[in-house]
Amino acid sequence: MSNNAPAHFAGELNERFEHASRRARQVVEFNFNVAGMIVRLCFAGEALVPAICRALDHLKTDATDKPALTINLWDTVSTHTPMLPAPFGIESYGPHGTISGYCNESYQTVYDTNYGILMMLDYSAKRAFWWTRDAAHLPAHEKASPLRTLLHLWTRPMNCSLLHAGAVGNADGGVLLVGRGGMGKSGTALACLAAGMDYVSDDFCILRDDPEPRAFSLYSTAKAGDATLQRIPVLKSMRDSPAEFAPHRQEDEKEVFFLHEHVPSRIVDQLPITAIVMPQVNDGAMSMLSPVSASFMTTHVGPNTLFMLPNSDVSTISIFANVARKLPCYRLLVGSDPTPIADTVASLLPTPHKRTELK
Amino acid sequence: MLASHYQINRPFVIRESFDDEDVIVNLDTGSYFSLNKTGTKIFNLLEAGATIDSASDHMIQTHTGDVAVIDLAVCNLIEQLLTEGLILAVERTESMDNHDAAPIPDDAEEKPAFTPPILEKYTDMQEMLLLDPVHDVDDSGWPARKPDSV
Repeated sequence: MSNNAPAHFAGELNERFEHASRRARQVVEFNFNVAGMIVRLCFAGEALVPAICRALDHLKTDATDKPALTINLWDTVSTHTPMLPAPFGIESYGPHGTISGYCNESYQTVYDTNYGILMMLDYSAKRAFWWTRDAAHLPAHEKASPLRTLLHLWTRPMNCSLLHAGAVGNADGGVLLVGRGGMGKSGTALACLAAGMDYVSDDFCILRDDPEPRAFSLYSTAKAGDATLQRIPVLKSMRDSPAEFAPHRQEDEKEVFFLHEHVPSRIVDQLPITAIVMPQVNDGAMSMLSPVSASFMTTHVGPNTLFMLPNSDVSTISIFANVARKLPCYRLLVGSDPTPIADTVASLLPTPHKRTELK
Repeated sequence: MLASHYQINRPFVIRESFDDEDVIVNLDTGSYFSLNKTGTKIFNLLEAGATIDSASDHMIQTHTGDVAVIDLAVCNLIEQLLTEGLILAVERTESMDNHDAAPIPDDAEEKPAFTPPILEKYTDMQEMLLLDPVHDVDDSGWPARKPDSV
């Protein structure tokens, strides 16, 4: 395989996108403010627009600045545009669907083998391509956190990092909620939202440490299981129609809530971060906070994001480690009562938080 | 048999240093580690180009404790670091010849007691690196979508 194979493939993908746009008879464009940069999504036709844009709607902007990244998206079924023949064989697929020979300093290529989504990022041209066979069959997680892989790869060389973390707080400070899935990040974030705090994320955000730690919103979605719904019943009023959102949702799967459609004033695009908290679900009712070291936090959190996302490198963990060195770190044993959860998190904010229950 | 010199297995190995310990990640294997202060000192010596003998000598001269115990502990840690793919055995280079190990305190200075190096290993992330082999492709050569993945 020649060294210019990725460049050649990117050129061919661009031709495919243009073909799809002609067949769809339109290109639908939206600009989004992602961590202070403009990301433009260009859709060949409208089929993918609602599924991809809904979780990003709160970041839509009318700004006409030159985009830092333009992502061209299309599907085959609605545009009647078949994908090119794969230029690589099945032996090229690595962990997370990374394509050997098509990932280097200039290009990143990933194929989601579970859901049939091709993604290619061309750093120098500040453009990316995203393709799937049928817009009607997008998986629920792609609707809840769209373009996550591309945005991770895009931020990788910058002084910011897509992190598996939530963030809540107020204008003066925020708490980064970290830890693996199922440890209580979402429940903690939602308990804080229900107590009136500003909400950046419950699961993924962009962390920047320049000059001070700051978390940026990516998705306005939140996920909640049955236990969280019992504890925070106000969420039930924000319930999406499961049949509409994810027709094949399993019973034990968490429900997805599009929060900006219900509490837009609470969904903020960024928060200064003043503490890091690792929730841990506890059997008792009360919540308890205990300080931990920056090294403990990095050991138990950093690798989680590193291995969850494709082609992570040192930047993914070093930004988090630098922030952990600067800020107080805590472990929070999360009890079943949401009020003390929010009060405990609020006690870490630099200015008092005035509790205002969501209705 | 341990080689003379070592280097960090970059770019696969990521190391973040803290006051109390180091966090080390092997991106290739999916394992990650915490290394205590004594281990960090030895790791720093190796990174600066120390041989196994000079690293051991340095630890003996800068700590109190049984010489044989210190020597064995240094050897064992280096073996562990090699086994886990965190360092590689390499040939001597010019830059290594000129390595400047941490200064050795004089006898009047109080030396700390030697505590064994501890490399704690975590493997719970390894499954995320497991390959999901592609078996079926469509007519264009793209992997077929999994039937249960709606």
